[in-house]
Amino acid sequence: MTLIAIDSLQQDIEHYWNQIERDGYCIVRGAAPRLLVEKLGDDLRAGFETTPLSQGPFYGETTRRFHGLLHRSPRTAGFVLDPLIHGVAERILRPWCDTIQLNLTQAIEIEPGGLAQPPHRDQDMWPIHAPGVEYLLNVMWPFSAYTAENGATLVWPGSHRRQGEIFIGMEEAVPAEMEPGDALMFLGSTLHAGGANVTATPRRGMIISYSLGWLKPYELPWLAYPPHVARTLPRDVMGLAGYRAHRPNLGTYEGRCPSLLLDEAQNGPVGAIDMLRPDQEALIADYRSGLLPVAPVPLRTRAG
Amino acid sequence: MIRIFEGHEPPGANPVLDAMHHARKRVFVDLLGWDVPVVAEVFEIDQFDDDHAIYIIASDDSGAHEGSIRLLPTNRPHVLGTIFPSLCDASVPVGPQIFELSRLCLSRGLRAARRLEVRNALATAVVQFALQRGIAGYSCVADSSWLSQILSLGWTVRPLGIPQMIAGLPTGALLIEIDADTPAKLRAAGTHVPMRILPTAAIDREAA
Repeated sequence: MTLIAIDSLQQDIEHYWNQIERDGYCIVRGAAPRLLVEKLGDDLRAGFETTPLSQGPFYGETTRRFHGLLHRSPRTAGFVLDPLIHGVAERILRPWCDTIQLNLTQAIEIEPGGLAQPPHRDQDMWPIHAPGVEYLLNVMWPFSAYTAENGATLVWPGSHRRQGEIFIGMEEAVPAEMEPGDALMFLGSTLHAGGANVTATPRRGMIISYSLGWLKPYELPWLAYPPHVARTLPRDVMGLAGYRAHRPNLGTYEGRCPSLLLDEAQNGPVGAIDMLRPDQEALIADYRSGLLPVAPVPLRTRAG
Repeated sequence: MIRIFEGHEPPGANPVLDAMHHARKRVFVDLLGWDVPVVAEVFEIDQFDDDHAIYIIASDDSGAHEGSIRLLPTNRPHVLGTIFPSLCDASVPVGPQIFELSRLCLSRGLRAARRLEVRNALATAVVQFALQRGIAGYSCVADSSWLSQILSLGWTVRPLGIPQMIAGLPTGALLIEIDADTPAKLRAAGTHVPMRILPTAAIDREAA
């Protein structure tokens, strides 16, 4: 009798989390079956063919980008909820929030002749940074092979620990060369850029990113997936995409968890329902029963 | 934790396998009253538990058996082909890409919610294992109680024949079809459990 296979999920999450902690990024080889990635790429082909070129110096006028990928292919949910990738996202972000959220799904093509993007850190979308707190995990899934020549994402290893340096020299950048099925994970604090495509073929891929549940997401999921669309998608993935309140009482609809909207249409007023963490419920109970010592606080005027 | 073993051992050689055969005896003989062989009074072991059988076994944190299922290659003797071929209207599906599922066993004493979790975890492991091994389908013999469980998992199931009464229960043969989209079907049915089944050979290579 031979042990031929095991569920290595927990060990793998630790393994890749350690790499990300050390380098700010990691590449998972063979994270998904190549066939599945190619089918997803096929599902999104119409999007690539019909989406106009992006505008602006950051997106780059030689790129095409479109979003809402959960609606565009039923296969996207499997990538968003990939046990290893989602598990690593939870491992990195959950210490700082009640639940994580989907920050965006984005298909991206770099046209032949496309210039390299300016290096940047995605967490700079949010203006205030708490030291030591990670805000975001990005995952790049290539649909075609990514090479240094066709615009493979450039990452700066260790740049997540060098927040004082807005730019770091190109000599320290590493192209994330990958095959379809591989996945690049990098932190919101990691300096990176889309590479230049000096080949004659477009470079296509998809970014799925996860962020702390209390941040404003890049892509507004309630508009990308309004309730009548969300009801047709798997419930667990819609929980990541806006249809779940973040305790305490953040991101609600009519004072309730927005998962309410995933059920059949409600008739009449519903009334608010608290969504609190157990520690907060206990704190309120203690306050009500007079168990909390209340220090006298001097009255403060508006001026302070 | 899910582990997958290939090949059989006599009682006493491996505690994980022994625990599975003991749980099988408690379910199939003591609870369901199946007429199947019992070894050393406590282990349910039949003629298909041999070197070619594959076992997917779920254990709790202390190592106790929570659930298990047996996979048999169909190009060798197996339950449908050997005992119940009449359940197939056409020929019994056999070949290197088809395995048979049998002896889905959930430990007695598990709470109802945990039973569902373990059942779903075994099904997810069965699918992931198939995708790795190039298995395109699983045949199985199912009585009416197991049939409803199989259908509720969300994967694509094709009947192989008209059900017949066996031991007082309507019993049929089925083929579960597996492809790259099967995990998404489990997910849509809410039965997919996060896991990452990896061959131990690949893990050894990574470690080396």
